[in-house]
This record gives sequence, structure tokens and C-alpha cells, in this order.
Amino acid sequence: MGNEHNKEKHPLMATSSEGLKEDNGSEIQEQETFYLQRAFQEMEKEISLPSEEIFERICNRIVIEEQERPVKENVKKTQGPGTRLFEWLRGLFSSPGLAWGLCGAQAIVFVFAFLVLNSGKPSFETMTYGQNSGHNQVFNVIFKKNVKFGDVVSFLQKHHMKIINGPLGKDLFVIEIEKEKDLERIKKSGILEFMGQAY
Amino acid sequence: MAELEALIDRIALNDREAFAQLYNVTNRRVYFYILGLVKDETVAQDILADTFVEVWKGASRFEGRSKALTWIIGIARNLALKFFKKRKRFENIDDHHELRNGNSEEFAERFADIEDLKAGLEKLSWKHREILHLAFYEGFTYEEISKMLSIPVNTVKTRVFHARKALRQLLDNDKD
Repeated sequence: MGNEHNKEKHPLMATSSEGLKEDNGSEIQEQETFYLQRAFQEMEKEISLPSEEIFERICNRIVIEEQERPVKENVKKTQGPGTRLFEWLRGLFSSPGLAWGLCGAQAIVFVFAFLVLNSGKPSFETMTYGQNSGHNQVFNVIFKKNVKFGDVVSFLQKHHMKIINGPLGKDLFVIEIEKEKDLERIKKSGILEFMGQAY
Repeated sequence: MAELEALIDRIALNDREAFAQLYNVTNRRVYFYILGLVKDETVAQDILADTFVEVWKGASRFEGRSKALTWIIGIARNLALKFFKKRKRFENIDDHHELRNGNSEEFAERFADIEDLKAGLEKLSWKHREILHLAFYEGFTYEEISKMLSIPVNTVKTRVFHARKALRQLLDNDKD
């Protein structure tokens, strides 16, 4: 193989490979490169050219794309301000970013509402809630944890007491007790964990 | 080569004649590159068509930072890789069967038989063939190839080294 092959190089091909220059300049590698170029050149000549139909196909696709583009632009131009606003809002609300943003905002609102609704106010009220007569003694009490509901009801009825507030923090109830009642007896009933004067 | 860039500038202004000229000058070259990757004429023709549609659509974005042919081949390569992804035909260059320990001495004589060399190039993995094609046939610099393939320049050099070694090995095997 000689240098005469250089004359047959593809017009687009560089006269010498820059890749080779950056590799190493050994004579053997230069020869190898020459043969490689020669082989690629022949291989390219041997392939059958892509058919004419390919270029037609490309042109047809371009025409279709070009036809679609002005249609889209015209549609935008002919739209009134209301339609454009609607389109803008539709685009805005169909964006995933906004959807996630709304999810986050909703979560914050729910958490905030939950906290507000549960701050200080009892989760349930007795029928006697707020019915303080003003003539009797008022006490803060905490019932023992293991006391059953029925026992509490019996206890309240037995001593003519009524719950006027609660449960508050730490399950504290405010009860009204008739003045003449024996407080020591009530304290030792075994139902109360705590009992103290409310002011 | 500057003519190609000028054609792309004209294509950016919707000049169909320039587009036809660009296609005529480059289609064979680009098709040969694609065919070397996908080894299937029908697929190569589809990718060629897609490539030139992208060239038409993207001509206004061509800033001339690279050669026009590098840009076009880069588009073709991306489309070929999409095809590979669809077909899940990625090959791992590290475990390719062509690479074996053996005599790595330089013997240009092995390359002298063009028919053998062509057969060897056909047998190379697409990554090895591609790197030889870009570096030694297209004459792109390592820097240009690095940008086109999105790999470091040193990786380009290593890949060229391994591709040449694999090719020598293939030629040795054929002679044995």
C-alpha cells in the first residue's frame, strides 16, 4: 500500500487525522492509521446509498411539521383575552409543580386546623357543661385512671355533684359540690386522684 | 468545511435548497456512521431520516461551536443510542470478547490487508468501531470526540487504544 491512496480520500475527510497527531507519532501507528482510513473509505464506498425515498420522507415530515406550527400560532393569535386566560390557567393548574404545591398547602391547612381545634377546648362536653349555679363550691378533680364510667356517674349522683367544665388538660374536670357536703368523705371515696379548690 | 456551516445558517432561515445541498453532501457519510453502529439498513435509514429532520428543526440553534459534521453526527449518535435503549442492546466495552491478553506489539503489516481489516472492523464492537471511525476516518480531535460522546478526553484516548488493540487481536485470530 502506498501514498497514492491519499488521493482517493473522501472530500469531507481531513487530510491527516488530528486524532493521530494527539496519539503518538510513531511510524507504525501512522501506517496503521493510513490503512484504517483506507478500509473505512472502501467500506463507505461499498454501502448502498440511502434511497431517494428517504429524502422525500424527510421533506414530507418537515412539511407536515411546518403546517402544524403556523396552525398553532394562528390559534394563539385568534384567541380572545378570556380564552387566553383560560388557557393560561389550564396550563398553570395542569403543571405538576403547582399540584404538589397545592397538596402541601392543603396539608398545612389541615394540620393548622387540627391544632387550633384541639387547643384547650375539650373534645367532648357533659350535659351540665357551664351550668354553674354560683351558690355551691367548685372543685378541680382528676378521676383515677382505672375508674369505670359507671362508677363516676354513680359517684356524681350519690353526692349530687355535677361536672361544669372539662375534661381540660390532664383530664381535669371542674365539678360543683353542694356546700353542706362532707369534702373529706368525697376525697376518700377512692375514685378521685386529685381534688382541689377551684378559684 | 465552512460551506457546511454556511448551509446550516441558510437552513436556519428555512432555505430548502440549502437543506437539499447539505443532505446531498453529507447523507452518505452520516448513513455510513449510523450503519456502523446499528448494523441494519432499515433502522439506519430511519435514523438518518430522523437525523435530518432534527437538523432542519435545530438549525437555528446551531451556534458553530463545533464543526457542522460533528454536530450532525452527534444528532445521529443520540438517535442511534435511543434506538439501542429501546432494543436494550447496550454492550459493555469492558467485558467484550475481543479484548484478551495477548501480544500487543505494533504490527502495521496486519493492517495491510484491507479486506481483512474491513472484516475486522465489521467484527469490532460498535463502541470500538465508532471511536476508530471518529478519530481516524472523520479526523475529529480527541476534544471534539470527547464533547460528542460526553466522555473525558482521557477516556477517548483509552478507548482508541483498546479499539486498536482489539482490532489487532481480531486480525491475529483470523490469521491463526
